Amino acid sequence: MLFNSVQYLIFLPTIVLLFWLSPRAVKLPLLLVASYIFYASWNPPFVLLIIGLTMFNFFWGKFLAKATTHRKKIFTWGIIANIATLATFKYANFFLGTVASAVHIVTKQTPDFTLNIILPLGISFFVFEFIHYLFEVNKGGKPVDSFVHFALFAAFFPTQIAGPIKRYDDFMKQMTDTNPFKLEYFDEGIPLIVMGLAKKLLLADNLAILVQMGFSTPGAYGAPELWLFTYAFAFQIYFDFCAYTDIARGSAMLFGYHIPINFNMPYVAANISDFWHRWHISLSTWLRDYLFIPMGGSRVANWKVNRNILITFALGGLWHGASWSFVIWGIFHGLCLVAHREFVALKARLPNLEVLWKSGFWHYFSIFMTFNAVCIGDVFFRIQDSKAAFAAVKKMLLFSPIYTADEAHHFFIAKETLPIIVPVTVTMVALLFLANLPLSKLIKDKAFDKVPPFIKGAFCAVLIIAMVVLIPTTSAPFVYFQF
Amino acid sequence: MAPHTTPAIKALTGTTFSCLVCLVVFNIAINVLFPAGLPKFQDTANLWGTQVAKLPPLMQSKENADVLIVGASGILFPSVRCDDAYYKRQTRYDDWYMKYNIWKYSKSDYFASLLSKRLNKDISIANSAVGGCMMSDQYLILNKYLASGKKPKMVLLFSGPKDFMDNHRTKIEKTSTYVQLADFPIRVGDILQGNTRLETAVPELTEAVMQSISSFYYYREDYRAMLAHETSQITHRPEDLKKAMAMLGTEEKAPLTKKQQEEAKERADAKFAPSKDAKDLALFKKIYLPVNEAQFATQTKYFEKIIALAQSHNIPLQVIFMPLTPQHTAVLPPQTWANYKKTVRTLAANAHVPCWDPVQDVQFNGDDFEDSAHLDAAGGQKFFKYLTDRICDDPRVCQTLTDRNVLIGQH
Repeated sequence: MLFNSVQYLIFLPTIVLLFWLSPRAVKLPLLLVASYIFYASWNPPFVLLIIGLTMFNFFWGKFLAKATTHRKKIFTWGIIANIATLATFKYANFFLGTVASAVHIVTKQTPDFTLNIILPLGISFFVFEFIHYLFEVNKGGKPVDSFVHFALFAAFFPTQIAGPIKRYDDFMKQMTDTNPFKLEYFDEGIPLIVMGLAKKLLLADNLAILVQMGFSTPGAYGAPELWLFTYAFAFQIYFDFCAYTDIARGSAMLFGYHIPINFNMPYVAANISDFWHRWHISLSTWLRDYLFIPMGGSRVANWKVNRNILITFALGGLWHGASWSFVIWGIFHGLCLVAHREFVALKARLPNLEVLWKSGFWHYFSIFMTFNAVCIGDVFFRIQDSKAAFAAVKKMLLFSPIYTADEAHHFFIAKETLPIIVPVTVTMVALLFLANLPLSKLIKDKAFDKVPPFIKGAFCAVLIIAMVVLIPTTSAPFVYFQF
Repeated sequence: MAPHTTPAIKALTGTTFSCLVCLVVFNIAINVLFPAGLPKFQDTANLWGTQVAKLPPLMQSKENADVLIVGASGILFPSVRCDDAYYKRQTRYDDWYMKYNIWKYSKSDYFASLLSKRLNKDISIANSAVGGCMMSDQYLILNKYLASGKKPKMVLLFSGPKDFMDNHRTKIEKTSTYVQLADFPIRVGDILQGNTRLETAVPELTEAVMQSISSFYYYREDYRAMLAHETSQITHRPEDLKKAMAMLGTEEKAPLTKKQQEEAKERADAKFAPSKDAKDLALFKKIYLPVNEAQFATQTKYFEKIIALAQSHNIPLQVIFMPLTPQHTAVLPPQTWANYKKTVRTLAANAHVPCWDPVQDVQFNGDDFEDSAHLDAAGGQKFFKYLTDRICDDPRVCQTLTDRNVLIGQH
């Protein structure tokens, strides 16, 4: 059941109504059952997987909390069990494919080791939540007493498939709090859902048309077109994932639950480190807390810090998908972070240029450069064939050819014979690029909080009407569903 | 001190309520401004080259034909092929001809000439067959055709297994026929008024909801087409890929190499001869298999509804099985094929509707087909001659066309 489907449009209000009409004791079990139904709507047998993992982690957490000896071993085995589950479903074919490639190099034969494994929806997200739970219990956190609470923490349907990755202490507190019905939940939740749907259906899905056109045959285009497609993809993926988070937060809000934000205007980041404080915040903080810091974090020798960053981001890339292109994407971001660290250290040694570092020019130049660096990484994210991705990046960086080889006299995108959707999307990308900075300023100043509710309501109504008319004929699933 | 606000005031001044009010106001404004429904922009809705391109002109036509053909491509193709032969037109077998000639064809003049000759009377035929459509689509076409004020003397319903089973068209309300034709607003009051029997009210309400969804798709498509058209006018860009392709066709092209010229000639020759190699079987495998029993049951109900609709208008209806090649029928599991034929025969018999199966009387061979499912001109001529005989040899059937109670015409 997709958030942008008619089924969800019926499912959500039904569950919200039942939730608020139910007595307190029934509310959470009801939400749990609803969450399992939501998951079963994709593939019923896989509900057993999520229930099985939940039971294992619930009892393992209790076992770990009570353990006085061999605590480290118990913790390690708990982590291994979770990672093994994730690896089996998500990475088995990737691993076997890599082995097959190695065999091909040696024997020149191509064995087919592929297993018929279905990737369970959202497995990367709930496994990371379980790992976080075991980490916190191991550090001395109190294990969850109620199985229903724990199961709902993992299965809560608004965040079940594509996050944000929740923290159990924060979510448990909300479940145990007495949570009376408030109209504010609806006044906050519904605009979030409408905004999320608008971001997905009006922006991401329309941008996807141009992106699909460009990246299905990247070799056919020159550097300017590839930059344009990459910009379009950068906004597509941002609005796609941001939309999911908005709908998830809005849906959770209708039950009185607060889910933390996952994005904070990432494209106004002035450096790559700032970008990762704004992009997929729940994942980046998870990687920091449960991968980077346990490896030593930044309290070790400089080269080890850089190594930790690279390992963290390579694995972060692999988390996104079982493909070498995602690993390359992760390593690319790791390298950018390492480069940024070294540059910060260099800046500290050049106090004479402090005027430049603090100038407005440098700030905007940094934003521009960061955005473009992120865009280069996005090429690996979008083009699964690593060779094709490298070829595209090479063209983009060398600005060669400016004109497409077989259309030497004409910039392809400017061709008058291209359908109207192309210039419309190009204009959209340009507007989004230009609107980014003023919008971020307005959000920072909380300007939208001061808008009267009836204006917000009218805006939501306009968005709903616009969505009815302007959404593309078919809406693709959310990009992050595949992870 | 903050002023005291009651929950009711909070609700009324909240974002959610404001949004709902705006939507209601918008809806009222639309209803006041457009009491007959939203304006349509069919001139800009791009039906060019689509299977339903023929429907708006067919529905708007004032011509009240004697015979209405209802069916799918099975009857549409031989109608075109026979008429091309009848008028000595060059027929073609390429996609272009299919899109821009066959899909929009709404006649069957060769068949009409056979009937006219036998009955000594001019018989006109309207061909409402739409490529790819199913029984539910055919029901809607007949419904709208009759609702437009036309009343044929006879309806010929041509049936093939694809009318009942098509894995590519599982959602009735989203087919192009529904999207094009359904413009019924939900009027629950009208449906329930004087209709207190639940067993009839519920299906009607279901149908109205379904048609309303189709209307939504129609309007969305129509308004998007209108917006694209206006933007296209301003920017001088093509509205969509089809028009872009047409523009590309007008551009100057580099001279072809010798090899390219030979390939072009081969392609050109292929336009004028059917392939006869039943390449379409792979497609039909996907269409039929796995057999969707639920869909079969639903479409069967629409088959019954077509019969009931014709009978409620006192229009005689004949059901005719379309001939198919043995290779085609072999795609279906034998049990499914037998069940399809038995179901159609039984339901027709229950409603006292004649059901004719040409393959029992006429020998069709491979040369009669242009592919596995469509009769070519030769097969079409055999088929229409058979039909003419069946109609004219049965006084009960032919009197509906002649308005006389005698058998007319010579063999």
